[in-house]
Amino acid sequence: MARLNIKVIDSYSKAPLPYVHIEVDGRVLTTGLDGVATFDLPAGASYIIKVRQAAYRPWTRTIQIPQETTYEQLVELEKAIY
Amino acid sequence: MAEESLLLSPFIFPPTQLSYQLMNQVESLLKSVNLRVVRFSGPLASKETAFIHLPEHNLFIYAGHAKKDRLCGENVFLCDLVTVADASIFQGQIVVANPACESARELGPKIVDAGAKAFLGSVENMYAHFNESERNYQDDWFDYTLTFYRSVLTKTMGEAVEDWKNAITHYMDLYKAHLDDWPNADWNYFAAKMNRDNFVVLGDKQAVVQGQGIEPTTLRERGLLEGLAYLLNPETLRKQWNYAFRSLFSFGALTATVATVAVPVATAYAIERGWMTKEHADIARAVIPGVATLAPTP
Repeated sequence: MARLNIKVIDSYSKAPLPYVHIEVDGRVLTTGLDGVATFDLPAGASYIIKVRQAAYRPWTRTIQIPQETTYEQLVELEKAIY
Repeated sequence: MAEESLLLSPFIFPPTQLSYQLMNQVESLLKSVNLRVVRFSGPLASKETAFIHLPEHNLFIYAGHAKKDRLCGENVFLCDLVTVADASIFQGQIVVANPACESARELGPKIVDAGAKAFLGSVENMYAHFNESERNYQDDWFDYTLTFYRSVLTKTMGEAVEDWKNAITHYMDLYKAHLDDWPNADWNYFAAKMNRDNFVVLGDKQAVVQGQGIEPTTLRERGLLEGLAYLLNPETLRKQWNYAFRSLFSFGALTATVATVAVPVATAYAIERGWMTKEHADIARAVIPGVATLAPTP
């Protein structure tokens, strides 16, 4: 298995964002107070990551997980509300 | 009261860059129906500039950050462009806060109670849409918001809000139909729904924005006439005098700083290098602060 650590921060303040929903391959986790959520995934595949927090612009990307190692993904969310 | 509009559009804190672009188009729209527009953007979208011009206008448009009891202006930390304490300054006016979060919760009712014709805003957060890889949702947002502003200028306020809701519903249906193949359709559906369902008109739903009622002229003639009328207006002259006075004060403050800091340092350096005598330096120290004291003070 590969490990994917996703850290979510505010693009303006750079502060970690807790309670952000992250969907990877149909599985949903919520970031902790440090803005991090960790997924264990089978290696050798690509995955669609959806990051959602109501007050921020949606973030959707496809990433490759080729090997059984630890991957770090930083997500900077942009404010979407006035 | 002159038939004019005052448009405020901050642009520094996200996502006001987008509402600023949107307001560029709203400004063109206002001008296209012969409404005169005074626009302040970025740091100029402040309490000072807005309140100088506010009494001369009957349509106030704000696009930027807001809270339930205030419109922030550019400084989102101070957030004091308009607060509930300022509600009475909008007497007889139509106030539109779009996009702006929660302004219809407390601020809107206070403004209407204090004598404004109508207040149009949201009781919840208002959302921007963005350009994503599968679709330019931002264009959709521009389209439905401009539909709203077109209706504000030509219909009653109640009808304008109905048009806003219908235009958003069109895009919500589109996003719903593409939930499986547009990766960000889910969020944009939610954002559009929030914008649609929480936007209200307070006060007189039959209120309308009055046009200038003048015969259309060529753009060049109109620009020249408006420029002359504005320049020779007693109120403009008074404001220009105030601006000039403040500028002179700024100059005075700068000169005083130079006199008290820069001159002593420079003369000491010049004496050390043998470029001037101590006597000359004493004269410079005496004369330059003297000149500074002659600069206007408030």
